[in-house]
Amino acid sequence: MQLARVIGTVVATIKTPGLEGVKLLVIQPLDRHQRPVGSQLVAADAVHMAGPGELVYFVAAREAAQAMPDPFVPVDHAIVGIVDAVTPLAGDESPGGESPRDRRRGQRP
Amino acid sequence: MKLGRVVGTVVSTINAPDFDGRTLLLCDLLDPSGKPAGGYLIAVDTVGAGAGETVLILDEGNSARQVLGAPGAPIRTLVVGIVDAVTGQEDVDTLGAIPKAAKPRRPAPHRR
Repeated sequence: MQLARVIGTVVATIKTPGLEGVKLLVIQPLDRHQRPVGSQLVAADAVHMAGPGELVYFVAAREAAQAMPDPFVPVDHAIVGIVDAVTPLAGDESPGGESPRDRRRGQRP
Repeated sequence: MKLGRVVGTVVSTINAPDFDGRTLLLCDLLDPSGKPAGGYLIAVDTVGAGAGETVLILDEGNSARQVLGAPGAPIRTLVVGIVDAVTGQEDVDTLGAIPKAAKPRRPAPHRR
């Protein structure tokens, strides 16, 4: 699972059976300092409460479909939780730790 | 499985039901020599790992669900062990973790 920022929504009227009522969101994967990394993705919202601007974590591959009400749907990325806080543990002295500037950069424009 | 180091926790109250009561650990991935390999994973803790510990990370869904005993859970990444030591050849290729080709060993001089 990885962190991501929700940056938009996708509306599709015609969908494969089983995906009716499933909310699709555009997400930007983040590194652990919450800086954007990699390309944006469309992910299904398995918690039904994520919205643009929120920090979430998502699961990829087959496990994404397991998060949906019908587990046999063509979904390969699913948001499975909304992040309240990422707590760095004591002793994390790796370079690139989060500074206030990083935090701002991680925010949605 | 992968080697990682626990660098943080992820707190979440709104999540898929299968995550209720589970601890999420933020783990940097390591190469066999213990240096950060780039990248990280959020993993569900099954062993009580703590800050700064080197851990064994399982990143495969079927095994993860089997370990948790949760057949339908959308969980793929688990911390399944706390690493005491990694030993091996010194010249482990730190990118691919593939041992370099061993030098052909000369036969011991024949003594009589």
